[in-house]
Amino acid sequence: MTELINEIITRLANAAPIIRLLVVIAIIIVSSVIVLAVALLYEGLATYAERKVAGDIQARIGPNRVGPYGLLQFVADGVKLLLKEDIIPFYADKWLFIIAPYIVFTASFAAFVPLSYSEHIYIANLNVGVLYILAISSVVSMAILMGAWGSNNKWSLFGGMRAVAQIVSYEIPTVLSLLAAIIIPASLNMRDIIAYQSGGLGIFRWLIFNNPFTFFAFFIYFIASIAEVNRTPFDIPEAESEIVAGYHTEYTGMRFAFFFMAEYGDMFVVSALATTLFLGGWQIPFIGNIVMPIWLKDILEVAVFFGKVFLLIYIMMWIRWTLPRLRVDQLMELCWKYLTPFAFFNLIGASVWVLLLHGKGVYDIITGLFVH
Amino acid sequence: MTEYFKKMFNAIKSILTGMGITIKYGVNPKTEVTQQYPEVKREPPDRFRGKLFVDINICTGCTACARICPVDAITLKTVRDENKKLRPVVFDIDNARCIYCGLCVEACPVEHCLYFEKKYEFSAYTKDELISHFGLGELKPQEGRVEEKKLEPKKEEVK
Repeated sequence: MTELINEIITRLANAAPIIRLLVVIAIIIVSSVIVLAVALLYEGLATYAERKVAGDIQARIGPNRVGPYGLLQFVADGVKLLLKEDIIPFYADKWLFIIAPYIVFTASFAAFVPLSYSEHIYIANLNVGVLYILAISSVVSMAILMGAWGSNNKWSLFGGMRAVAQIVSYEIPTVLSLLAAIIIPASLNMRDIIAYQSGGLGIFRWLIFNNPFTFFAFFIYFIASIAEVNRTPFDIPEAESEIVAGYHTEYTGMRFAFFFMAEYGDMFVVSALATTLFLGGWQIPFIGNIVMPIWLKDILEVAVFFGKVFLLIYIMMWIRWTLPRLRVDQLMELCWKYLTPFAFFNLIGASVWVLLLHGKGVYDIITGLFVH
Repeated sequence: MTEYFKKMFNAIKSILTGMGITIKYGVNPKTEVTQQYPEVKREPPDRFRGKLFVDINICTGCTACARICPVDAITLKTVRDENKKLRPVVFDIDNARCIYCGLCVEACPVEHCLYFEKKYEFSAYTKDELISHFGLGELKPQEGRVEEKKLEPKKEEVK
């Protein structure tokens, strides 16, 4: 995508500056609308999938009335949310109340930017990709607190404070376990990290199999990331049975939908981050170096990437409909007494591994034995 | 320290056990127990209390049901015909007011005259449509004898 834009800009080198500016603005708007449309479609289908998975697990059927197999249920839900009355509480802090859903949605949407969907399909090739995602997704916690405070409601405020306490705490094991993986390719660029994991039948050079420490780091990251996106075993910020709906108690209609869609967007981002860093990104397993047309390879890579991401999202849904909610103290105990020490241990172990074996993974060592 | 690892091991074990049970339902579509209502209808149980029905031809017009009804859902008006028998000219049951307590069914002295049907789908757009009319109609004073035709109960207006 970046190459395409550069190409267009260089071809317009002789045009008037104002035209060049307009073309660049048009490219930005068109590309962001395309990505937004894809993201919204994904978020709609994710809500449908969530309800279907819930139905399967609870021996029900799930939505099946609107459209074939209920596939258009999310469109009906969206229309319903758009038609709802937009209520702003009288004593609310109106400015914070109105702006909070937009910030939540923008932050979760902006995190899609550095992801690499295939070798040639990516939006931006950021050299600080992982850091960017971690930074931009931290904005969500601030916006949640803004909405919670602005609502002027005790349930909202409790929910917002719980959300911030939880997200800030769980950021530590998340980042530490990501670091254990990042130190091996020694890059924060998503594309470099994926390129490092090529070879080994497309599976055995994944960073999760690089050494025992990254293997455990993946699970720590996965648990902590579920808490980061406030999903069910860790959904105390919006626990219905305790504090109504938490930080979005006072929100109605489309403003509520923004919070809702941001949750599913965050789910995609953390799963994509896990896929990129631990599960080999878009590396196609088992095919080796078979020559094929570039478009076919790109399609296969996108399919593999989304397949891995959706598998992780399915596991998140599976966990959600299995496990009960943790108490606040249990939540903090899990983070500080279990995940954080193990994440530190993993980071030190992975560092020592890299230092002693010069970044060689388990697969490299085993194949090295056979070569000599 | 052993306590710490024991707790962790127990937590992982119990989580995996629970997730093993849910995935069995998650991947097997045969576990669904839902009966999809408009397509598949359940047979109501024997003593199901559905819509009230009156067999008006054997009604004696004693008004026991109207008197015992706690919500005054039954409107009953009787006149004496030429045989000095009570004739229920108006017998309206307001299904919007009925609480399905069954007191009228117990009070009715005639066997199988006022009873609950197994019908439960009779929603309507207005409250008036919810009133079922069973009455035989007013007796015209000049008519000496009531013809057989007129004794037929009126058809229910609400389906």
